[in-house]
Amino acid sequence: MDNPSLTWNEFDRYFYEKHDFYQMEWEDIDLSNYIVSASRFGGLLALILDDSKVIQINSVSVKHRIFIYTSSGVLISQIDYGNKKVKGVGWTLDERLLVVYEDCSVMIYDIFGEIIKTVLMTQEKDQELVYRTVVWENGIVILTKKDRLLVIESMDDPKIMEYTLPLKLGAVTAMEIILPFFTFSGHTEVLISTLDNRLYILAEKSEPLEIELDEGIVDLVISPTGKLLAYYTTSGSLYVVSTDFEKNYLKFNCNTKGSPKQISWCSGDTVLLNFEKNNLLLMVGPSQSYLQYYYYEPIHLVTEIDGTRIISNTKCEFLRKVPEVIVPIFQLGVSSPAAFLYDASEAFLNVTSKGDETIRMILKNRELTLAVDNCLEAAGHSFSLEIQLKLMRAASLGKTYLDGYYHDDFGIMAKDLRVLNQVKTFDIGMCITYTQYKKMGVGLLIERLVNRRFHYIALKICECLAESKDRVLVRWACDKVKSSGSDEDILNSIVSKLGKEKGISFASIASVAYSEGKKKLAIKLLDHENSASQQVPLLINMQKPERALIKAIESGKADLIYLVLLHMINDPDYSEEKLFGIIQNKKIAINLFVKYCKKKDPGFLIKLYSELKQPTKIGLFKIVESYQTNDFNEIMKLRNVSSMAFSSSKNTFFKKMTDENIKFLNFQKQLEEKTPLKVIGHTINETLTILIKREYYKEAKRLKKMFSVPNERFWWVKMKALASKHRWKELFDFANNEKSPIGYEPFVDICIQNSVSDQALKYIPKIKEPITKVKYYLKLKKFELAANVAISQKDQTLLDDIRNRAPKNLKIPHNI
Amino acid sequence: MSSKIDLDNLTYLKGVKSYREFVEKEFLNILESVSGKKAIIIDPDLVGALSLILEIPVLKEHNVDKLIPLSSEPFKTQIKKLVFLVRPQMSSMKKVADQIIQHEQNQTKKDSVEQNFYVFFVPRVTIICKKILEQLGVSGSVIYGEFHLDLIPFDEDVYSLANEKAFRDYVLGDISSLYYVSRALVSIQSFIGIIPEIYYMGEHSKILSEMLLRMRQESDLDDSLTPQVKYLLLVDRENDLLTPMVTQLNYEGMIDELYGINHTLVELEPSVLGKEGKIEKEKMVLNSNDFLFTELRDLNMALVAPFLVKKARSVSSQYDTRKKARNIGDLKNFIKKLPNIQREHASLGTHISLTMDIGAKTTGNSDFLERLDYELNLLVESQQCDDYIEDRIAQQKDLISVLRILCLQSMVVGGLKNKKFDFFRNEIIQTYGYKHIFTLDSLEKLGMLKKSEGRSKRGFAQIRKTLDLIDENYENTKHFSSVHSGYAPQIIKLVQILFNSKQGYNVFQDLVNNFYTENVGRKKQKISIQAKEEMKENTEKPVCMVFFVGGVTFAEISAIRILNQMEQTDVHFIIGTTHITNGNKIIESTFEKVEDNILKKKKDEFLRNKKIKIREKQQEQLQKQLLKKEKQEKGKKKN
Repeated sequence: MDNPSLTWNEFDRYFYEKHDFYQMEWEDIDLSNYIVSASRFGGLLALILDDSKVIQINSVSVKHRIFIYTSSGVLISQIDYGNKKVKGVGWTLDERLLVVYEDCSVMIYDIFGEIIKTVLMTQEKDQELVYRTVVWENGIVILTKKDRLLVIESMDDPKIMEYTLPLKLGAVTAMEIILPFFTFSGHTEVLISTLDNRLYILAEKSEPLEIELDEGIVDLVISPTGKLLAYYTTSGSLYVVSTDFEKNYLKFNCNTKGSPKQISWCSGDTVLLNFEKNNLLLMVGPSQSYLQYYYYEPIHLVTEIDGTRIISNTKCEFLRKVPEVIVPIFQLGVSSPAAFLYDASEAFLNVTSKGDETIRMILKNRELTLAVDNCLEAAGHSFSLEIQLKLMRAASLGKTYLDGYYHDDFGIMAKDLRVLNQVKTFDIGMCITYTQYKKMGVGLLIERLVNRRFHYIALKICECLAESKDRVLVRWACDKVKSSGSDEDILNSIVSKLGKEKGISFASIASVAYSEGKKKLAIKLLDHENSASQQVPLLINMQKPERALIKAIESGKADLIYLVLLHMINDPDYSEEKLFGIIQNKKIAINLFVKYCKKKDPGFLIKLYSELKQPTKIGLFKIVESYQTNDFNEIMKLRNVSSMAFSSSKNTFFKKMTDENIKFLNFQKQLEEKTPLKVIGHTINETLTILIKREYYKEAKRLKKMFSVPNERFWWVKMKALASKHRWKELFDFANNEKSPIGYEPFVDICIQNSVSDQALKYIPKIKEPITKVKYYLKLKKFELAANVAISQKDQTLLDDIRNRAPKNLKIPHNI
Repeated sequence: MSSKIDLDNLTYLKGVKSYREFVEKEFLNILESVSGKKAIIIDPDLVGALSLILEIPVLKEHNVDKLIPLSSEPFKTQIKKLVFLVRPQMSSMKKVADQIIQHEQNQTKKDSVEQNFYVFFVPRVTIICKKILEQLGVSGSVIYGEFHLDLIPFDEDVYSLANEKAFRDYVLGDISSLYYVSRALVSIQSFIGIIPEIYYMGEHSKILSEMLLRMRQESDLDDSLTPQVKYLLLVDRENDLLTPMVTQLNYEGMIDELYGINHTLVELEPSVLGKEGKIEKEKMVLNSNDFLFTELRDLNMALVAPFLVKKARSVSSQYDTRKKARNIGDLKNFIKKLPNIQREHASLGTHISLTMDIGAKTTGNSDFLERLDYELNLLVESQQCDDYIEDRIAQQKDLISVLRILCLQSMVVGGLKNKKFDFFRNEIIQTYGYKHIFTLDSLEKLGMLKKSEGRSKRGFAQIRKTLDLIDENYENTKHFSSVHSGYAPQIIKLVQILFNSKQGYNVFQDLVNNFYTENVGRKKQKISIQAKEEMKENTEKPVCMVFFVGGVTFAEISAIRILNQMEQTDVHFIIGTTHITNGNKIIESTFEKVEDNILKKKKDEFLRNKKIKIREKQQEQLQKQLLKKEKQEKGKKKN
């Protein structure tokens, strides 16, 4: 091939080139009859018959249809949209088709015409009609015939905003938007030009900004970077201004009759004007320079970030500023390290020694790394396979001369080129430049391929670029699920392909199967899902709560169990019987449910217990409830319920305790009525203590008898109560009245604790065990008394021991 | 003071250090994610857990101005960012909601600042907690997050989830915390490698083992790491609730019984450590950073004092080397060692004081000795002590201690006779209140207190004989029965059998099947061939983590350590647990926390009346004084 620079046009200090991507595959398409909408990044074309044209083709098949073609003119599908009137069409980045109908409804279709989502911009009763619309990758702006301006900024989460319009809006000539990510407010701004020489800028929650111009605007376009605005006026002039209207960059008089059919930006600051009627495509640069291209057929311009795609009846071309890295390699009469390297590499092929010398020279000048990098990058930007190959060869040669060159760059570029050249082939028809590829990212490219159902190629690309294959595989499986065929076959083919892969979301495949109405298949697919967190919500949606609950329990995740349970409680379709039936025999679920109900829904809990035939639990729960109230009658009522519950569960002990408690509460109540005492809430022991402390002995006795409090315990309680009130005499009488069932040691102890040793001494003689007596006497330092015990016991060693402990001045006998 | 354990010189489980750093970093990242000054409102039980991961002063460096314990009490602050750090417990949610709503209401007032709320759940957020917050009126402006504080290194060989409520949850049948255990074990495996062999005994452990395998698949663990732990033995606490009822008699266990150890911290009255004049409690960290404590912790109490005497002698002889120093070189050597000697000296002082205080509370206390006597008689000869227990109730002694011995007896003899069973229960309700009907219900369900069903072949007497649990000669030969002065913890005995080359899994399985539970088994986790090879090349003893689902006692931990030192063990054991427990905690977790409203109302009324009376009195006095003054002034004027 010749030097590519031969096809370049020098323009405004730069070079521009036009490249033929494809000869269109389609036949009999006359673009002048269609409205074309193209997806960015070399993407698909949507064609709709232009209603405003006199219909020349009278066949029914063309009406009410959107035709989707690749950039190479291969028909992918036709979408029949019925009797509505289309007002605007656009593409999302992942190539879903956005269609705005006149009745203010918006539909999102996939490439094959399946409706993904419908959004109504206005309420039906309003009967609003679309006047003008602008559709972009993620949103929509509609101007209705009743002068309302409605904006959606995200189709994923379609919230409709209404912007304030000026009071008197003249006849609209053009409408354009500045995308949210370019505006200061972060919201879409709308530009509307009117016949009365005005331009309005409309933004969310603000008054319209009005600009008065010398002449009316016919058409206006915002640059891909959002910084520049180009508009064409009634007098035939093209203006370029900054979007904040601070700076005027250009006023150019086109000297052409009529208005352009389309204005488009091309590679930065250059503007293209399509004067279709004059067969002229006019390119205007910032410094008033211009270039004319002649077309003798209708064309459609698609603005890309690095140039303009030109679609005509016969061709798909690309007009761009030649990337700066390419220019010095091929420009005649200019030398650069990369150019030298390129030449040297060519020389090598011709087996001359000149190549080696050249490269050594570049190396000596320390420019070889730069040269290699430039050749690599230039290869990326080149359209021709041959030039790509030559540049890669040059880079490859150059890097062999370099120590420590980072070889990955070469490998990456080689892979990128493989990918780009692959998708550019005719049948796929994605004419993506290297710049676009880098901007859109591999993820989006794969998404588009998968949307086109090019699963195999997408998978190969993933493998080539070491990207995760999960998404592609899942999407393949989802498409497989939609295909006809027996559930068995579909399941087998999916499992055999995906079963071994890690981290595949079978839940999302099952979800598709479910929405396709293939319930059984969905359930079978779900069984292959590893993550219960994915399984359970779907099973709930599929109205399979029992299975969902089983899976949730298996996962051990309480959260998921609750998810199922709460769903069933809140869903009116699930009667209590049904719910109980499902959770029966599922101990873990029941326990969690109980825990929740205790806090949130006691009524339900009682129903659950009775359903599960667990009256003991009802009884116990009623006791819990009784502690939450302080109304005596309420407590008694709850106690009676508990008592009945225990009796039906044949828990005789609990029943007895509860009945006794009822008796006891009544006793306390009476006591409070008769006396100034406050006893309710206290235990039997505590009540006894209070009664004794306050000298209600008769009542204390009655209480003791009523609940057959053992003597031992009663003695302890009485003893402690009297001691706490320091009623020592009474204590002594009490101890003497009867024989103590707890011995007399406790009496001594309690007196010692209260530091009344004289009292303590009174009880020691009553103690049976002599050795204990001695112990206490010694504790109270009554050595003589201790000695007496020892003597009466005739225990010599004990006596000796006592003497040893006693102070020397005390006369303790030496012998018994 | 930091309770962070030094992990620099680990022989086993080297990956734990980076695991802890990972957790620390996660927390600091959470702090960074909330920009600016912030206050942390924290579940009180998490403070201790947190200080095992990072040094609390570090928080200041991350703009944390305040650390406030979570409660419903209102507090005022001008700090704009309020970060809640809570366990996903329903009961905590009420407090969180109270706080948020209070602050939001304050915001409507003029002079206050707008505040942002963040709720971080530890270790995981749950739907139900979020839902409860919603129902309590917490608006959507709250930002939720998680802090995956899973297994915390308490010591080189002890890893705990520090989930104090775990056992209580199991009592109520709520096994949701098993999920956290499973997550914790999966997440630590990404640092210490996949554990190839899993054994389990108990219903919860079985569920857990299944969960572990499933979760491993879901989370796609790296199987190329060389496993640092070869075996994982999962054990339900419910298999053996008898052992915790027995008083712990090793040094660390004794400290826990008497003073309570929380997250390796023990709080002591200053007088215990001989620091008179101080009011604030002394905090002391108990872990292997303290070399002396490392030597003491597993010793039977009877052996502690003699050991300390020996140690004191050696320290003082080290000091003496200074006197013997002949030249500058000797002196230099001495000075080099000095900080170590001083540290040892200080530690020695502390432990001697502590030992003396323990002595006074135990061997110097007839109550304690009496109880120990009854305990040992029960354990060794199944000798019942009804009168003792009856007497304790009559005296209305602390219910927990009463239930501990009552349950111990019930479990040892395989249930109480019908009449006794009802008698004791009746006594407990009359003495301690009707609300303990819940306690009795729970204890019965756990099998800790029950009616005798006639002679059983699976009773404790059989276990005692078969497992050879009693070895009263513990003072002379090193044996782990020393932790309970002659009674060996059952589970540790089973561990010994499982990893004994002569007995092994089959014997273990039969024993567990016969005496404990039908839920016993083992599972394998696949590891890569490379990892397998590397594991084979390892010359260290293989490591086994014994994981207690529902809590482990310090006595059991010490028993494991002693087992490690015994010559015939070919495996090195470490401990994992949901939390560290003891008999008191287990008994307490069966209590239903019902508040007696009537009583509370009365108390409130009483206090209010008291206040009113006091105020009236004050006013009276004031008036009297005024009258006096007036009179005096009048008198002056007349003069």
